[in-house]
Amino acid sequence: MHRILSYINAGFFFLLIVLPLGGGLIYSFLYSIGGLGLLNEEISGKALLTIWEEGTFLKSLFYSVYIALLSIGISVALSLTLTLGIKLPSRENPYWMYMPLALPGMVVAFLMFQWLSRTGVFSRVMFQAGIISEITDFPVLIQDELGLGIIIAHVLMATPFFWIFFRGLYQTERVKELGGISASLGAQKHQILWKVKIPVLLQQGLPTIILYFLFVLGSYEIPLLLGQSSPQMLSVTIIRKLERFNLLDKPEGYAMIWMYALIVLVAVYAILSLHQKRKAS
Amino acid sequence: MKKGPRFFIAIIGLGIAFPFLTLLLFSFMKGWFFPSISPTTWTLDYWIQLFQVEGELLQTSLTSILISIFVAFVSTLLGFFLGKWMATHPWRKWWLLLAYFPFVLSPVILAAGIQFFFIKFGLSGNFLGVLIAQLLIALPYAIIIYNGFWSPSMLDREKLARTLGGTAWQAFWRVSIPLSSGVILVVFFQTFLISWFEYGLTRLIGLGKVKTLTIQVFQFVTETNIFLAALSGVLLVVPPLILLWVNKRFVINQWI
Amino acid sequence: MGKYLWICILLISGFLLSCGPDQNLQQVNMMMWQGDPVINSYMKTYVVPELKKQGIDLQLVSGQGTEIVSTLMTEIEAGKTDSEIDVVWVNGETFFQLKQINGLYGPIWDSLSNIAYVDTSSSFIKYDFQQLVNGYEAPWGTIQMIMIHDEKRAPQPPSNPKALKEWVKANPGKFTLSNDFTGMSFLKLLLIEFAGGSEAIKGPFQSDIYQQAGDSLWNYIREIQPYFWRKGETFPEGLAAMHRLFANGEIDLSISMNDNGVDNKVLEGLFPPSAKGYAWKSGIIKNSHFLGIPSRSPHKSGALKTINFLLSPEAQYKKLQPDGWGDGTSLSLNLLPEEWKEKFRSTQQRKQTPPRSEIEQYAVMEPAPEYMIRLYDDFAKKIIDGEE
Repeated sequence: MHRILSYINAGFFFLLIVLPLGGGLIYSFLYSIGGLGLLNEEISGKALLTIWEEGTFLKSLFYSVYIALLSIGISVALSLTLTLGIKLPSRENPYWMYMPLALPGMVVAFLMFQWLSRTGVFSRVMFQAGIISEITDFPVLIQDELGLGIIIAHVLMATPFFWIFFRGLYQTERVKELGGISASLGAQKHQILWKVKIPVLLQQGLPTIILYFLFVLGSYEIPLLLGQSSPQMLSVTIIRKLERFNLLDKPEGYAMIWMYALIVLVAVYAILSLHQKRKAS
Repeated sequence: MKKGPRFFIAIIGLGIAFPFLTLLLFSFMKGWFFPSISPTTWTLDYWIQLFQVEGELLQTSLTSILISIFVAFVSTLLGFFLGKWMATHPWRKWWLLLAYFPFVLSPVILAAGIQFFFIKFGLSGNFLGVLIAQLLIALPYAIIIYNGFWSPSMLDREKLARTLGGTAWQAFWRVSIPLSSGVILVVFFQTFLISWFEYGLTRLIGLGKVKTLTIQVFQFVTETNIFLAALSGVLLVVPPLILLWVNKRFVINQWI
Repeated sequence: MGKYLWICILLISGFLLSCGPDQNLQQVNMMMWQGDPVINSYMKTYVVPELKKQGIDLQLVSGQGTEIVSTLMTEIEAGKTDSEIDVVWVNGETFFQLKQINGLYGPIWDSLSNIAYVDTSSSFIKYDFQQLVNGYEAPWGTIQMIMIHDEKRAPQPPSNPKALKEWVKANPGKFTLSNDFTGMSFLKLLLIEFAGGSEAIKGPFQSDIYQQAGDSLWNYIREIQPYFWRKGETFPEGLAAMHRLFANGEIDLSISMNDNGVDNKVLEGLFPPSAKGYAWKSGIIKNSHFLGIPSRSPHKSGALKTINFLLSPEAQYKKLQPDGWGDGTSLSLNLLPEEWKEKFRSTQQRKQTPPRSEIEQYAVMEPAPEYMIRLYDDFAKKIIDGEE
């Protein structure tokens, strides 16, 4: 009985998790080397060569990593400041703290557009207040070169999450007590902050931080609505390669899929190893 | 406590209210031209249209709710057994790795990779296809949470019931289920939200034929109909706000 | 716990019961560009209800150009026999690509009674981007491309490449191209000129012509790109986005592939009354846009019915109204029954753009589809990505 149940479970796992992933990977790989596809005539590394020579994948990857690093870096810094800097009346988190989590990426991107574009709310307020006299005086924050719009959107989404997350860690990891012990051992206030509290929170939170980094890396709606035409983040670039402009670019799009997937796979392995090591110690 | 924190809390509170207020206000506006801050007219039109029987948006919301409930229901159920099976399996680490993979992968890229198979098996452009596709990203999440929940001490408690003379069935029904009722609800509502917020995967697999709220919002944004986009945005954030009100843990949890 | 479970089961079964499709209606899925609210509104508030009366449940799906081809292509690759799409709204380059993959069903003209009102000998209907249509797609509308300016902000708008170059340099940041069909069509207009006019680029695609004219075109664009909106580092993704920039005064010129496009935007309240349409003097593209049926569509009779309705005098008349879509009819007035002739003639004239008869003289035909396809590709690579 137990064995049969185990097989059933394994079957479902295989069907719903392993098969789609494996199938998708193999399909993308075959398509990218011309083994599949209506317009592909022969097996060749042409698509791979093209994205290597034109730097399509690397450019997009670096851009995504840049966006994700900055977004996560800023959010973590902000949320640590909030966690350690603001004492709330009760240990229990209030309702309003959770409210931002109800906003999906699509809505945040839409809001960013309405606030920060040159004809958005802020620009209008500054115009009415006489701070700017022309639309072009307002800084470019949407579809801008540096991806500021994308980063701000991600920071707005991630900071509330990390605030709640770090507040939770602060209690479960007994950071306050640790601080107290350090103080009794004669540590200065800033030492406790920089040498004890922040390192403990960061270290314990690392797997979650990396996870969130990967989410931002693969995000789609936000860069789709707030990103400039080029370079673009990975999800946007890949979908564009697959269904816009040139049908002969499809193999390049599929090549980027499996390359991205491999990177994520390695990253996930790293997170889990980290997690397990932590549990063991 | 002195003035400082209160002041900051007030600022943060305002910042948090701002998105919701913006959405709400825009859904009552008509004609909004630079450099004027207020619209040319305030209107109830969009809201009235919403509640008309033939209203497209209402239909879309129902579709979204239906899809999300279904996805949540199946992933909660299947995930429960899979998560527990995995937690006791010797290869736990590898299963976990495989479960994390689709969870972390960009859903829209996953969709692009598997689209071919969905088309092949007649699962593209219909509800069933979208349900299964969303299940592929919601289920791993469910498994991961359950897996985290079934810590050795939890498993021990269940074992204890067995050694005290209970049957497998009794242990499951009297011990496992009550023990995990909290986590089950959490998984249900969180997978509901994963489905509820999903856009790219739904569009690719549903071909835009299966119209969910996120697809509708995007449609309004591309035709720059900001007022209807705002209204659909309001519809999109209400269910998660209600879930939060009922229980905060439904939206964020500590098992990951 | 049990309580929640029951609520869920009840909800699910309730929805399943209420959401089932209407059995008496035949479902037809139409994939079309949905980037313009007036077009969407024409489809949703007029076409869909009218078709419902004829027993057709028309579902609109968003998608255009390469997206359509890519979708149908994957279906063919997967060996799927029943396509998810029954009607597609296409332009010449999509028609070309669909023919390449044998993606279109036809010829369909003989199955459409309303084709009788179409002047099938007109070269704008017989040919789509220089390709013989041969009945594989039905003309939905005929339009001319117009330029849009604001009389107040840009009283003397440019209407040829040389003037555009000077104007853009004198008004930095006030011009851009949408990264979609409309923007690329404007590039095509420039390409025709650099190739030496529409006579020179006529006929099948010639790669040396493209090479030569293309080089001049990209050099030309690169020269003025720094004076584009946002220094030419990014481009609005769609027409609606470009129109919004124009409406808000970020740019002073816009483009429309619908010569009534200014009137409906002014009536909609998006554009100010000072927005005017004008002709690009060295030639404006005139073309027809078409409707086709994918070869694997499982609802061909419904699709034919749908297309026939869209070609009917009543649907075309409704489409022509300047306070709605304002799309030029593909029907020939001479072939229409008397009562419709009168109605079409007395249609309210547009106010923001010179009448069709006046700009007609500048009309040029579309060149072969490969030119457009190459333009899309090269624009993405050479201008957006800035490659050499």
